[in-house]
Formats: sequence, C-alpha cells, structure tokens
Amino acid sequence: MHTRVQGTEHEYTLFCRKMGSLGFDPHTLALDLLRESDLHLAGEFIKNGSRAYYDVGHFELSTCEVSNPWDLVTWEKAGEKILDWLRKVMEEKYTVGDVKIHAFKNNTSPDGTSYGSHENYCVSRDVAFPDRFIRELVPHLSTRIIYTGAGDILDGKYVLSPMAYLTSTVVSGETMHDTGIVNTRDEPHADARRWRRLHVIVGDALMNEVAIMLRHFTTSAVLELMERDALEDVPRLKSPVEDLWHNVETRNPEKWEVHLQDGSVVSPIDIQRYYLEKIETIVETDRERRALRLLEETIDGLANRKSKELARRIEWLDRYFAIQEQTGDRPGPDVEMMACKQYSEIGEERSLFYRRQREGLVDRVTTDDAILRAIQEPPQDTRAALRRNLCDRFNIEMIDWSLLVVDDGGRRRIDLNDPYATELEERYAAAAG
Amino acid sequence: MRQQQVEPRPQKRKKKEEKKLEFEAGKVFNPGEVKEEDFELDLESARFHAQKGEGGDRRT
Repeated sequence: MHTRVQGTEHEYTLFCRKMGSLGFDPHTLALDLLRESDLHLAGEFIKNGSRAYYDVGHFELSTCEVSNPWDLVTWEKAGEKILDWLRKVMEEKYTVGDVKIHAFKNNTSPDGTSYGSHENYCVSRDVAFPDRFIRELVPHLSTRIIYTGAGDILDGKYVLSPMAYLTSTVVSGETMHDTGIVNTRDEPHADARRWRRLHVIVGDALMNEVAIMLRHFTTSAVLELMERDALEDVPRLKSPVEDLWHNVETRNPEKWEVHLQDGSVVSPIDIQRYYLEKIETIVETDRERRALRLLEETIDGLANRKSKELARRIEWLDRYFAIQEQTGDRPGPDVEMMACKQYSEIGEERSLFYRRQREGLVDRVTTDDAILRAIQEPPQDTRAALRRNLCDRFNIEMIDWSLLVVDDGGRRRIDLNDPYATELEERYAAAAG
Repeated sequence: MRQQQVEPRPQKRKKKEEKKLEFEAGKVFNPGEVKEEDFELDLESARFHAQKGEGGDRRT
C-alpha cells in the first residue's frame, strides 16, 4: 500500500467537581502549562509535531502528520499521555486536598455536550469530490462502526458509536450540528492543486489501540482503492443514514441491516467483506498482511458472534462488558453511566480501559517505550520532522501546518506545502544552514 | 526522500528559551491504581440528552 499522510484531532474534556463558575478553566490552564513546558516548540505546536489549542471549551490536540496507521496509534497515544501529565500537574499544584481533575477521551462530556474526534487523510485531488466519495467511501464509513465504534450511553440507550448516532445526513460542511457521513471542509494544509485533506467526522474517540489501527488501515486502503479506480462495483446504498441509525442501536449482528438500491437487504458485515476482498489486492508488506488478517478475523468473528474474543479489539464490545462487570452486584443507570464514562478516563490509575489493558483483556499495537519517544519527537518520515528541524534552527515568528515565518536576520517565509517532504531541497539546504 | 523547496537566505542563531516545567514520564506511565471511590463524576450532569441525528447539543 502507498504511504498516506494522516492524523487525528481529539477534543478532550477536563472535569473537576469542585470547579465552579468562579474557578479556573482546566482546559486553558493545561494549554498555558504546556506552553511553559519543555514539550513546547513554537506557537501552538509541540516538539513531537502535534498541535494543541483551545477549541469550543475543550483542550484539542491534533496529532502531527504520520505516514501510516501504526504510527498514528503511537502519536495519538502520546497526545493522551501529554494531557494526562498536564492534568496531574494541575491536580498537584492548583487544587486543594483530594480534589481530582478528570480527563476524558470520548465524545459526550459530563456536562451534557457532545464533541468531536476527527480523522484526516491526505488524498489525491484527482478523485472527484464529493461524488465518488459518496458512492465509494460512504458504504465503508457507514458500516465500519461494527468494529470501530467506541460504545456509549446516549438517551438512556447503549449505542455502538456515539458519533454515528448523532450523524444527520450523508454530506455536510458542518462539524457541530447537521453533521454528515462525508464532511466537505476543504482546508488541505498542503498544495491544494495536488491534495485534499479528507476530514472524517463520523468516527469516535477510541481508547483501544487495535481499533484505532484497524480504522486507519481500512480507511487508508479504501482511499487507495478509490485512487486506483478499483471500486467501480461497490454496493450502492439506498439509505445509509437510516441504516446507520438502526445499526448503531443494535448489538445483535443478526439484526444489522443495510438497504441497497436494488431493493435487497444485506448486513454491514457483507459490505465490509466486499472491501476486505479489494484490500487483499493491494497489501504488500508483512505488517499490512497481518492487519488484513486481523480485519478478516474481526469480520468473521462478528458474523459468528464471538463477542468475548472480539472485545479485545472492538471497543463497543469491551466497554459493554466493562459496564456489565462494574455493575454486577449494584445495577442501575447511575452506576452504568459512571462505568461508561470511567472507561474513557485517560489517567491510568482510574481508567477502566487501562485497568483492563493492565489485566491483559485488550490487545495492543504499540509499546510504552515507543509512546514515550513519540512524546518528545515527531515521526521522521513526514513534514513534521522538517518543521521540527527548522524550529530547532531558527527563531520562529509564525507557525502553521504548511507555513513557517522565521527570523533569520530578515523575515523569511518558508512554505511547507508537501506533507511528505522531510528535508529542504538540496540546492537550498546549505544556505538554510 | 521528499524535499521541500525554499529560498536561500543567511541564518541567525536560535535564541535559547528557558522552560519552567519539565515533562515527567513517571507521572503517566504505570502510575498504580486508586480505589473506585476516588471517581467522583457528577452523575446528574453526566446523563447525555441528545436526539438521534441532531449532531449533538454542543453548548459553548
């Protein structure tokens, strides 16, 4: 498979029970602390190439540009750890007694709001937008929830995917209301003649490393198949949003439905099998073949209802079991809600997810050592490495994903329009130092 | 290896910045476990009320 620059954005919510209207906002304090720390690079960017900023009441962290789904997991987890460290600094320095600050990686916050977790994929401008994305990508995005859903309790119901539950339509430019399966935002942060940044907003905030990897592996593969014109025979969906709404509330795979334009009704498992067979034609490396095998086992497992086994890598299943175990001898909606939220805490000492990871109940993709390195350094095979390199050498006047203004005795603009570029062009590199 | 084209110019030495806060890995990797009672979420406000397909009730 081709290398594909990609990344994720997460709006994390910080919650402190003692934080009243006169208290500090932990989201802004966390950002202030980050900018005073040795992890800060310049502006809103941190040394590992990621970007941290305040967005609609949340601490938002966008990962740096990574080139593959495995690195995506590592740098996304590095972002979690950075925020968790800031949370602990705040707890120690700015609260009194046993007051705790909680940080959540989910999509519905304790104060009753929903918020986003977005994927970004660098795609070719040659693929007609949005027509081919509606025809060839929507069947994937609307059915992948069976293994990419995080699970949540909304309106008193357990749903497979909170973001799918909240999705309104097939195509939309909105990110806060009337959201679509395909989002039309067009901010490439790159040479707009060559690339589009596909902004996927229908995905959930995930804790499980394998679920994150599988989501990015399959979606990257589908995008490559589109660029190769290999999905001409994709199943045509009749009512993807209505099917999404039905399936998201249905835990029994035998009751999942996808209505096709020819009048037939199939399962999202069948749609994912279609993509699986196509992906098989483009995998090349051992790592890609292992991911494909994992996808196949996951789809087969869903068809055969091997839910306990699949909970190791499907988050909506594992969260459901975690809630059941937590509420065993004291059932009730309050305890269920508590467990549901506690699963998504990023602090290892309180998080139900991390407790289960310690107990070996969920599978992993990366290691703590790799995550620790990714807290300090960007990946070496994308523009993030070049941006870091330039920031280490120059005084920065202005910084963005695809632009630097440096003070090198004058005011110098450096465009970083190629998200795959890791070095300055040779003929200029010597002059740049 | 992909290269990015830029205009050549002389460079100026980077100023060193003093950072007040140092990242401590020990705080976030394997920090041990606390009792469940320490989880103190406000359940009243935790109940999420949204309508399906409404894209969330995102108050600011």
